[in-house]
Amino acid sequence: MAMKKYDRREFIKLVGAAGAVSATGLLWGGNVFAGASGKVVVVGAGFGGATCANYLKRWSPDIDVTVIERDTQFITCPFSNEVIGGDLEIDAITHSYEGLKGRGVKIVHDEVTGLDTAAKKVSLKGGDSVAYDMLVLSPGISFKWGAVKNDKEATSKAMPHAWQAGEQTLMLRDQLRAMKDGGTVIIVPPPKPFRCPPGPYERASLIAHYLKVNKPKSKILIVDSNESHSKQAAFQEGWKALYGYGPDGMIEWVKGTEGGQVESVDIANMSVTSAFGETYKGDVINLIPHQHANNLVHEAGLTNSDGWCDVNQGTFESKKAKDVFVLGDACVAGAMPKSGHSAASQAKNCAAVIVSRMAGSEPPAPTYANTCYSLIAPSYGISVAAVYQLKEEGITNVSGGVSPLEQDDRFRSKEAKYARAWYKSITADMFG
Amino acid sequence: MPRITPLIHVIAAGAAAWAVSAAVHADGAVSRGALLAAMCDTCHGPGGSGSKSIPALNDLDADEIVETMKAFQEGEEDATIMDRHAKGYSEEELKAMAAHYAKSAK
Repeated sequence: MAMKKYDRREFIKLVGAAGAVSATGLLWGGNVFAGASGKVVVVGAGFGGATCANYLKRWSPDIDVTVIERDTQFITCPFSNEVIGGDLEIDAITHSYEGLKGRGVKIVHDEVTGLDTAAKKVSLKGGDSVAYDMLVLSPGISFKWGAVKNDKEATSKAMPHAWQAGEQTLMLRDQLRAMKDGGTVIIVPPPKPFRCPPGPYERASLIAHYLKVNKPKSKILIVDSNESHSKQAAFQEGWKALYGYGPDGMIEWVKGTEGGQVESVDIANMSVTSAFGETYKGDVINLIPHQHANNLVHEAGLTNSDGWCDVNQGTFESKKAKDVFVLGDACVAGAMPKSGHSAASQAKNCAAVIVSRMAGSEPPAPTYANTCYSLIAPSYGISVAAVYQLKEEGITNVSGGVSPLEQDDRFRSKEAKYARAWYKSITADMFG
Repeated sequence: MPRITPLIHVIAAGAAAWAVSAAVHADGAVSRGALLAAMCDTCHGPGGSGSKSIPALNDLDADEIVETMKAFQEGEEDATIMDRHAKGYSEEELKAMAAHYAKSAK
């Protein structure tokens, strides 16, 4: 069994830091630096989990890292809207786990059926159980089926959500391809908080891009529970410039208090109905269900009454279980949005905490960033960016904002190029 | 994937060990500079190696990184997004991230 070097923390308390340093010298005689060791299990290999596993190995190759992931490849939500709009093939957003394996990360393709945080082990559908010293959970979201009346899992065949990329992405794309010119596409964003806050609006943009070329008499109606949305002014400026926005344009946005709060759906009629009784009929309906943290963490008792996981926002350790860390969309991370970039940023902080703790040392002070590009057209990009610090009230925005309005084509085209470069970079950082 | 020759394995292992020693203190803690630089790498590529139109950072002098970031803070450097990022870091943090790239440069 691996020696638990983080017991040294106790030792420091007893003999003081200076004594500990010389004891370390004795223990790890010839080593240049005191590497950490121990067993980390990571559940979920998306932006949070894959980045965390990768950085654990980069910073401490001796840590035993096992990733448990249901799927044998990862299809990203970022850029899936370009697949829906037909400008990108799904292969371009599909990634293998071979690179992570090359770093020495063990990948087990199985589903987690139970977490025992007292016995520190994870049980798998295949029958195995895996013990851990530290557990990292980055399981993403689950849908609250039934929060909208008649919205159940089966509904997503008729009204695809395409909010977990893969088969659903292609289903929505194919429905758009089959739609007649002059048809209506309805997009129903869920109430906040949800995965990828600008996602529904980028989707409207790239569907509009497809329709403008192929089915120009068609219309997109965003029937939104919310009163405002991410990058709102920048999206609306782009929509006006490229597609026409408002009742006479290709894209129209109906906010919550103006009839946007969808309360029920009807598959037979292909319609959605608001709390005030307005019914909207669509030829294609993209119904994005209400969300909470993945059922796995819910069943393990790690969620709060809103359905998300409260963590220490400096370390991402669960407030409900010791040595259990929750990253990404599933956790409550102060001012950070539920984006892939946020998850990666949290993952690096968490990896730094685990590596440092396993070596018996203090982790560095946290630092966080988010960068989130959206495409309004293939060569028209906008972004939101932020840097955060940990303050008493949690993770707090200290700089950033949305792309400025009234910029020229060159500025927008640069941001679209940076969006593609960002994608290449963040996926290499996860899987490379 | 192309088959990697054993020699490249040796070189890769050496490079990995160097990258680790630049990121991790003698006591095994991850350095603040490494963590700060890891925030940059999400866009600027693993190890700050650059990604398409996003420039590399790992071949810049530490002073150049700090000076450029300060120019972004002051609005003296053309930017689409870097002005929004740069304003989030103190001079001490900029120096720590820049020193990390300088230390891990080949």
